[in-house]
Amino acid sequence: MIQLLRGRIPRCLALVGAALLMGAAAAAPQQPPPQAAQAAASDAEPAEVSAAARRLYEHARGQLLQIRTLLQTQDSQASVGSGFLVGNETDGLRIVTNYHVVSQYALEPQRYRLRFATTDGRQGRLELLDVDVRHDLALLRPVADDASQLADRGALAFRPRTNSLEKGDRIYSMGNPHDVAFAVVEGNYNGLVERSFDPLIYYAGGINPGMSGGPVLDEQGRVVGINVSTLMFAQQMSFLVPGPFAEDLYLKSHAAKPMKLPAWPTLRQQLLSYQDELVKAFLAQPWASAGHDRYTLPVPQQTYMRCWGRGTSADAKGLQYQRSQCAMEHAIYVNGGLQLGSLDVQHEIYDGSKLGALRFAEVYSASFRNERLGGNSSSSTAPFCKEDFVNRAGLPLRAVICLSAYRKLEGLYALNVLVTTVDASTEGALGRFNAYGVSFDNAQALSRHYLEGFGWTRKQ
Amino acid sequence: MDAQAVSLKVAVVEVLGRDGRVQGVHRIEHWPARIGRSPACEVSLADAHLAAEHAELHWDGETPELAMLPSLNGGWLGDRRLQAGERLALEPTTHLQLGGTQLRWRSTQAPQAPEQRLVADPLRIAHTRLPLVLLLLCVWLGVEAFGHWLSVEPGTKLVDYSAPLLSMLAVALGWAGLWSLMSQLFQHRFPFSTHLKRALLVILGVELLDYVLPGVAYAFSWPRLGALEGFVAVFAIAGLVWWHATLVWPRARKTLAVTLVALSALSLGLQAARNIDHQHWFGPNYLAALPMPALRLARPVAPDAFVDGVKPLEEQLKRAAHRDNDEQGGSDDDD
Repeated sequence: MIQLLRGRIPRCLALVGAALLMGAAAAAPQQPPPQAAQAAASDAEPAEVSAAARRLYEHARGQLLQIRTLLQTQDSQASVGSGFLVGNETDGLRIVTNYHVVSQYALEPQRYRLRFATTDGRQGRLELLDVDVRHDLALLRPVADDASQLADRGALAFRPRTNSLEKGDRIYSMGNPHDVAFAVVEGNYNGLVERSFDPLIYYAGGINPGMSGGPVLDEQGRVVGINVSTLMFAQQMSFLVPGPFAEDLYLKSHAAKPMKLPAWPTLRQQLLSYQDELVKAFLAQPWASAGHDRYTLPVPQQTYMRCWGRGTSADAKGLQYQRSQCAMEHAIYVNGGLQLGSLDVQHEIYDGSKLGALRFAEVYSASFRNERLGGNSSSSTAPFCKEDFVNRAGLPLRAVICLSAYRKLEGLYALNVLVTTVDASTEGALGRFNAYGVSFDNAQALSRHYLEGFGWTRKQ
Repeated sequence: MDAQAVSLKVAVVEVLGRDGRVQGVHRIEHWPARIGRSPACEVSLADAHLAAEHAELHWDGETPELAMLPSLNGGWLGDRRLQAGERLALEPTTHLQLGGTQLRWRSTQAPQAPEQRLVADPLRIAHTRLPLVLLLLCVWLGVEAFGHWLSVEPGTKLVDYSAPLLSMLAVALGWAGLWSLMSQLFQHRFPFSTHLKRALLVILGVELLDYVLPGVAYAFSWPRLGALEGFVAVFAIAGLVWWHATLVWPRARKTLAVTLVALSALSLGLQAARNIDHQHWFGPNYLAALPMPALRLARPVAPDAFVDGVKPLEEQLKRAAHRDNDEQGGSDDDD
């Protein structure tokens, strides 16, 4: 497929955002905040909205934390994020943050360790109780010896689920951007992201790396969401995990034993059940029309995928083509090199009538050959493929199904299906379906479903 | 060698070139015999570094001897300097240098090497007619022009074909020229058209296979035929080098063949080792050729049967993931 992604929104928000908000170790050293400017600002008469932000920060500062991941053997931080206290003093306070803030520790506990820092400079060690990789959440607690550092602080409460926010409501995001200082940022609730499989709050406000895992509060100081990601090359477009998922994780695992071993088995279980749900929902949807007068091609409903299309200009001399690319824009962050749980469907329709049969065969083959399948890597095996001519309701196809296994996530596979029509000498369609992190049975079901999307619009 | 020959006091002085080849032979029956620049010498040599009478050969008793006469440059026996007035006994075969000239003394006392079988002149066998080479060249350029035509948009000007075609022509002529220079170096001839013909025949063969193999693979749905293309490329290069090299070192045909087969096997072995964790050791993941639909002979299968046929991959992938996990587990312990 000819590579062209101009004007497209980056495919994985989680990927983009996670990288942005976690505060990578490689971030440039920050200048210390200018003290004079701070003093000047505090002298000024505060506006009304700022008064609300100040009030909320005063309310939440005791429960706001910075979460740092450090190597076992040295004190330099591998990544930083934010978090907040939940629960109650009697059962012991717990800490909510993003999974991606603690993923290095979760996957390699023998190499990393976790620490918290409070707004008033207290510090201590943390242990991991559970993760919800699907919603990018993690639940932690201080180790018993350091629990006193967090005693008598109380916890943040969640906003009741029945009491939903309205578009435009002012909400306040907190965290420690770039490890500069704890900060509070005002923004607006803008409802849920459309075409997202899992609910994600669209927050109009600027959040930055290091704020991941920090709480977002309503005017009453209750948690409505958790900072998770932001859209690259956009202004004030950020995303929050809705608060109820964090509350659920707390309720489920606040009494759990700390995880001492790599979290792969937990991740695997959660990803397996997530992909089951996703695939079931996807298979239940009929294919939409590609609007071509010769072929019917599989185009997904845009319920939780977004499609982009383009084509050659009418006066192009050579091959004429139209392209459609549909993808889920949210993927599940596993680690820095692996995002799973997304599907995408694309096709190109070629008209080679200006080329003639020989030249068309040449460019059609070249386009088919140009498909990249990924190689052998530390996270997945090389692709293993099966190919043949397939008769789809009378339309002859050349189909290739390739699968790679994820090494640490047994039973999960990356699926690539390539399909070309082989009925005509000067026209054709090349389709590609990708699914990352599906079970073998679901990979087969998705392949079958994808092939069913091909056929004649009008028998030629 | 019979006894009579040994008893005869006859010898030759062979003049050797820098490459060790014999450039001239002087037979000596009468003793003493002088070596020098003067026409009066029995062995008269055209070397400005020799005295008019530089040395003298004697064979009076049992052993032939060399006596050095007064000269500026003298001579050498191996590393040993020979000065005027010196006299030394000559072995049945002796290499020496007088002035700037390499000489080999060979007397009837020297054992004769057995007669060697004649190597059939490879050039005579590969007799090349120029019109044939020109025809091959035209066919090859035609094939290349067709390949270029396939890859450009309709309406491309003919003049735009010149750059790729001329550069390919230059490469082919340069290749044949280099091999001809090698022949010149070792065989003292310049068989340009023969080298060119051999190169063109191999290139044309490979290009033909490049069109035919994907076509056949597609027609019968035999995707593994794609792996053959890698073999063809390796063995075509090895074969072509061998074919050229037999003109340069005709006596080393077998050694060359063994060496090139070993190198080809090594190259394929490395390729396989790189792909050890892949589904196939050779060839691409899938057959990407989509020639014209009329070529398809294989019957398409039903989608369900096709998707069901994927099932065996599950076991293979599990094994592949486990194999590498085990290897990685091993390396983790070292951390």
